[in-house]
This record gives sequence, C-alpha cells and structure tokens, in this order.
Amino acid sequence: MDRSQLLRGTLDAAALAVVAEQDGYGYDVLRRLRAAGLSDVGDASVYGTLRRLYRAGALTSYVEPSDEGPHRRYYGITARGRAQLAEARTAWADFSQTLSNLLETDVEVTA
Amino acid sequence: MTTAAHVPSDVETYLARVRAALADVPADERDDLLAEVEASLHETASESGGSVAAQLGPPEDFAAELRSAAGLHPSAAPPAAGLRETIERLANSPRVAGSLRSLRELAPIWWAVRGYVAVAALALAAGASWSVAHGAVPRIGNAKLGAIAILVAVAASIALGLWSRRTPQARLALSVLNVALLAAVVPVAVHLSHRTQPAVATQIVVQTEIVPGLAYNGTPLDNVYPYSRDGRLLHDVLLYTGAGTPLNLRAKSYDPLRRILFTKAGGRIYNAFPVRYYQPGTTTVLRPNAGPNVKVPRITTPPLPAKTRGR
Repeated sequence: MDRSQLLRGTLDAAALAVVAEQDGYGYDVLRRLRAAGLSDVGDASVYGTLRRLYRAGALTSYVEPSDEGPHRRYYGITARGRAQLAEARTAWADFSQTLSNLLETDVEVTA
Repeated sequence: MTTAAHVPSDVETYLARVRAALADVPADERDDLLAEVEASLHETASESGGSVAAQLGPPEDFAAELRSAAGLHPSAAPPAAGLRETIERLANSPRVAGSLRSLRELAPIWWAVRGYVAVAALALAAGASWSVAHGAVPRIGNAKLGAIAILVAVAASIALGLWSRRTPQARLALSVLNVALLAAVVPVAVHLSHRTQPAVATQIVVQTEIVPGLAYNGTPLDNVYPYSRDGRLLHDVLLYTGAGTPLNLRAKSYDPLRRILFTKAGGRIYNAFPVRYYQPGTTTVLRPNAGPNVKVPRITTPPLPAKTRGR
C-alpha cells in the first residue's frame, strides 16, 4: 500500500499534533511534518487540511507580519482540536495495534 | 536580485492558475485558501530557488489536492448537491436574503402575469386568432371568452401563489411551472410587440380615386347631351360649375378629331356639349344629331312661387 494513501486518513491527526506542539503557519507546519518523516506529504494537502480544521473549529488563526514576503497566518489548536486529537490518538493506537497483529501473524485476510 | 524579480512573477502566475481552477469555490473561502497558499508559495520559491511549478507540479493538480484536503466539493461532484448547497448558502447571505424578501413582496405581480402568460402561451401554441380591437386578448371561441379565460387564469394563479406560501411541499412543482412560464414569456412578449402595430395597420384606408375631367358618381363621362323642354337636342351648350369653371370631359386629353369651338379672340372652348368628333381627315361630323336613346318626358311647369299656394 502506498504511503500517501495511508496518509490521507491520518493527516488531520498529524497536523493537529504538530500545531498542538507549537503554533505554526502553513509552510512551517508542512516543514515540520516532513521533518518528522512524512516526506511525501503534499503541499496542497497540508494547506487544505489546515483550512478545513480551522473551519471546523479545531484550529484558531491569527496573522503575524513577516520580515520577508506576505503576512503569515499562524494556526493554534483549540479545545475542540485537542479533543479531536485525543480521540485520534486512541483510534490510531487501537487501529495500529489491530493492524500490527494482523499483519505480523500472517493471518490470511480475505476480502 | 534577478531571483527576487523572477520569483514573485512565477508565484503569481502559478497562483493565478490555481485561482482559476478554484473558480467555483465561494469567493471568501477561496480567498482565504489562496492567501494561505500564497505565503507558502513564496517560501517554497525562495527556499528551492527554482520554478514553483517544478517543485509542486501543475497548478491544476495542486488546486485539486487543495480542494479535496480542504473538504470543498470538487467541480466534478454531482451538480445537484453542489447546486442545492450553493443556493442555500446564497439564500442565507444577508444581502441576498434582503433581495429575496423584496422579491417575495413583488411575487403577486408575477402571479398575475403568470396567469396571463399561461393563457396567451396556450393560445399561441394552439394557433388561436387574436382579438382585433384588443391585440392582447386571444379569441377562445370569441374575444369575450378569451378575456374571461385570462381573468380566471390570473385569479387561479394568485390563489396558487398564496396556497404555495403555506404549503412548502408544493414549491418544487411550482418552481418547475414557473420556469416553464418564465420561458413562455419570451414568445408571448414577441407576439404582443408584433401585435400592436398590425392592429393599426389593418384599418382599411379607402382612397378615392380622383377621376380627371367630368364624372358622374365617380364614373367618367364621355359626353353630355342637353335637351330643351320640348324634347329637342341642343347643340353647343356651354356648361360651367357654380364657381364659373368651364366643364370639360378630361382635363388633359386632347383628341385631334374633337370638334372644338373658338372664341372670337381665338381661344379654344372645351365646355361645349354635346362633344362632337369629325370624321378622320375631314371637318365633317357624321351624325350631328346623334344622342342617347332617351325619351324626353313631357314637362309641365309648376306655378311660380310668387303667387304661393305651396305644395
């Protein structure tokens, strides 16, 4: 399975985790995700995801002037975002445990 | 310095194409998305130092990824859902809501118009004839029934409009009807605008043909035969109108064979009757006493009015 396909369902959680650690603007969040090992995450995916999380109330945003180029829109996590992140953590732990068990024990999975 | 000048225009071109690919996204959402992207593109460009497109791929793909990650409906999504959502979003915006309210107040005018359009469109489709006196009224049997049909349709349409305000389920069916009638407005309006002129043009203009020369009840005369009271045909009687104008057969005609009298001063006299014609090549009138086949009645003279006994 392609990593980018795996990423699609989990990018929300990854972005929330990065922003929860420290507020960041779009390109900054992208860089930190890549630095964390998600090297193949798409630029547009990250920007789109941030906007969607913001619209859903999981992120808050504020603008800071930048020395070079346009102003930067920073994102910070909200209480709702933290709740969503906590939920994603549990779900991921559960899911990855299940999948690890399945994949490591050579069980035949029929479709 | 060259890169600084090169990079922004590269970013702007890329951004413009992304914006174009997101043309169907609501403006404020798109602007926010693009503001986010723009700042990041500048950083991408300045860090990589190369073309943004080389770094990020075609702008259309970038836009599609952005759209899907942002949870916006891709442009290929079923239009019904997108349309309904767009309409709802539009209807909820305060500016549109205000216009909709005033439209709602004007709706009864449309209801009345719609009633008329329905009758007129059906009459047009059926090829009915139209009242001559009132070009807007189709003749259904006759113009009076047409006018009644219009009144009934207008009343029914208004009743339908009032009923639909209380009955939300009826709205879909009614909006289909409205669209159909709205489309029918065009042929009806075209018909009406053409109709008003011919109504005037069909007036029959009786143009009396002016008969040159002498005429009786519009029929040209080719001669006049005066008789004396004792029944003898008179010759060379000069006739004049009340205004003293000499009477002539035809003002312009001059027949070389016509026998013309002359005044002593040598002037030609055309008002001498009966008109006679010479035999060709001569100055002889073949039958100077020829006249119509009439029997002149015997005449009695009424008593003179001076000694009135009246009658």
